[in-house]
Amino acid sequence: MIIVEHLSKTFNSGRGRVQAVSDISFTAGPGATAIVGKSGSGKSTLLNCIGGLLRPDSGTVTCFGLPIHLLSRKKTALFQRQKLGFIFQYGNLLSYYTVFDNIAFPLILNGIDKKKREKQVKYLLERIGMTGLEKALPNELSGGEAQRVAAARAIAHSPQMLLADEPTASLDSETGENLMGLLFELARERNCTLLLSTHDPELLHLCDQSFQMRDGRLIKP
Amino acid sequence: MKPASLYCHWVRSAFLFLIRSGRSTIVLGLMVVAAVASLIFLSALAVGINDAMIRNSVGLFSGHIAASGLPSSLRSEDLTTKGTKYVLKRFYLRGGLFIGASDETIELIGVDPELERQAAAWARKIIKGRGLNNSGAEVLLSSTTSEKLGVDVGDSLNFSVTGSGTSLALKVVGIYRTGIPSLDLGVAFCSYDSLPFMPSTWSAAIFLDNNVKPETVVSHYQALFDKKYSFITWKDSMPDLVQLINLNYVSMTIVIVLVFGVVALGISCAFVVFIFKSLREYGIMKAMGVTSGEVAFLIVMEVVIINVISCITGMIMGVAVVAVFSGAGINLTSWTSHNQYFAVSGVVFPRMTSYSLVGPPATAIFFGLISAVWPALIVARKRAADILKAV
Repeated sequence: MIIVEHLSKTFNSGRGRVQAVSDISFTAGPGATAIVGKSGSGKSTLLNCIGGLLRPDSGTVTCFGLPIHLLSRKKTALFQRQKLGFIFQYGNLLSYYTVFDNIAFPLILNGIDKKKREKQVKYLLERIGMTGLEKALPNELSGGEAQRVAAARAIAHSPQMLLADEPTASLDSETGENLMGLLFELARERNCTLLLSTHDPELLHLCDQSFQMRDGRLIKP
Repeated sequence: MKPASLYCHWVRSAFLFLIRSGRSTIVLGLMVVAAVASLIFLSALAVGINDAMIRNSVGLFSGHIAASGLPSSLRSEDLTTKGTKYVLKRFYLRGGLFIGASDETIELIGVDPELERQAAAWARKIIKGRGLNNSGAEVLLSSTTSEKLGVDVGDSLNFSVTGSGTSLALKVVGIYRTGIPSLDLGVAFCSYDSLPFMPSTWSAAIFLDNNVKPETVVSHYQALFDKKYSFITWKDSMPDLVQLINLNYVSMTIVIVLVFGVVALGISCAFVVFIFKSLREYGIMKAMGVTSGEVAFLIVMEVVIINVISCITGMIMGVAVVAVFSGAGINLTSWTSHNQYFAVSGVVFPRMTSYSLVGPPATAIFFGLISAVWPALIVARKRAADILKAV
């Protein structure tokens, strides 16, 4: 369960103070939740605050009983490595690591031993249809392949929560659809709460619930 | 996975970051390699210059150890011990050289000509005539003395011993010039046989094998003769040379530190560029739960690895260059010909010491680590979202 209450976040920029997220409250239960909104509506900031990548100015974020907004840097990192999977808009993968190393990375961080790690990575490679590309480097992959690897990496350590920030934004519609299908499948398979931001309303039918954002506010709870 | 294995993973990751950064790594590495190799060579050269100054100073006349007032009952063989190469026996007689109306007060030094030629460079500095023979009433004058007296090779003059009234005729067989005032003024040389009589005491110039410490031999003599005689090492008799050598070491150390201070700034800036190139990677890592400490460790490991590998390569290159020049030597005569510390030869043989071998790479690693602090702090202090937003 993800509980967000009165969350606000402001940034200082060249244009002055920008209210990216303003007094947002919602609860995301098990399954998939979509946050829909145009570019610049505050979706990424909201996901970053939920994932502990940003500290909110006010309000609270509670993920599975853990007050994310109160955690120290070290405890936030521990939460992220154990309970969170994150998929970014673009440039997800660690370019110095091979596909295998990228997927194995969260498993290494979580102390999974080599044998189990290899088994898990091989299984995920098979699931994303990329067996044989273990040794490929990210720059040798297409955009769709890279996002599939990112999805496998985000889910590899079976996190409780998966945050996906416009994962299909850099992909064509067919590749995007395939990726989303895979992402939902993997999340369901691992019983993982998926919180997804997108500007594509067509994805809503795949989600259990959805919220719309505009100018940093939730307009449809 | 145990924490140790996690650290192994970061070390492996640091290697991967460096290997896959290709050109940036090579350029950074080359900076360190060039700096280490050059400074190893320069420090070896500084050691070689010190060696040359010592070799020239002791090899000209005085030897590594000098002793005076030794009784005639003591033989030169008695001073021969482990590490001594030559023990030169010299007798000093004060008196005057006369020819016509000219006279010059000198100290006539009775020597073994053959042994002097083998051990001491002054005896090979003949500019006119020939060296001394073991027999015959012959004298070797410095160019300064011969000019003062107006004599040349083949001329005869008289030597009168101060206080004894003893006098003898000596034939000038050669003229030498060392460039050192203490040898070119007020002394002349002859063989033992030419002396009018043997003084009751003699002086010794003891030349040692390479790498033998004069202090060790002096300690041995002190123990052997129960401190009856006074032995002085070149360090005691030439404090100016000791100071010069120390100054050379100090200035070399300052050069090493300054060079690496400047190189470290360059390396630090290059590392910031290098780290910023991978900023997105660190942002993604942090978003995945990598702690700031682990990111800092990864960055420091990258710096350590590139520094250690570059230092080893630089050391090998430096040693190779020193090996090439230590055999043939570097002729610096053009810059040393008027210098008293290079009176014998201006050829310098660079020599490796633990100081010249370890000093530059140790300094490189020290400054390399300092240069890693800045980029490591920048990345460690930033939040993942800020990093990802910035790239």
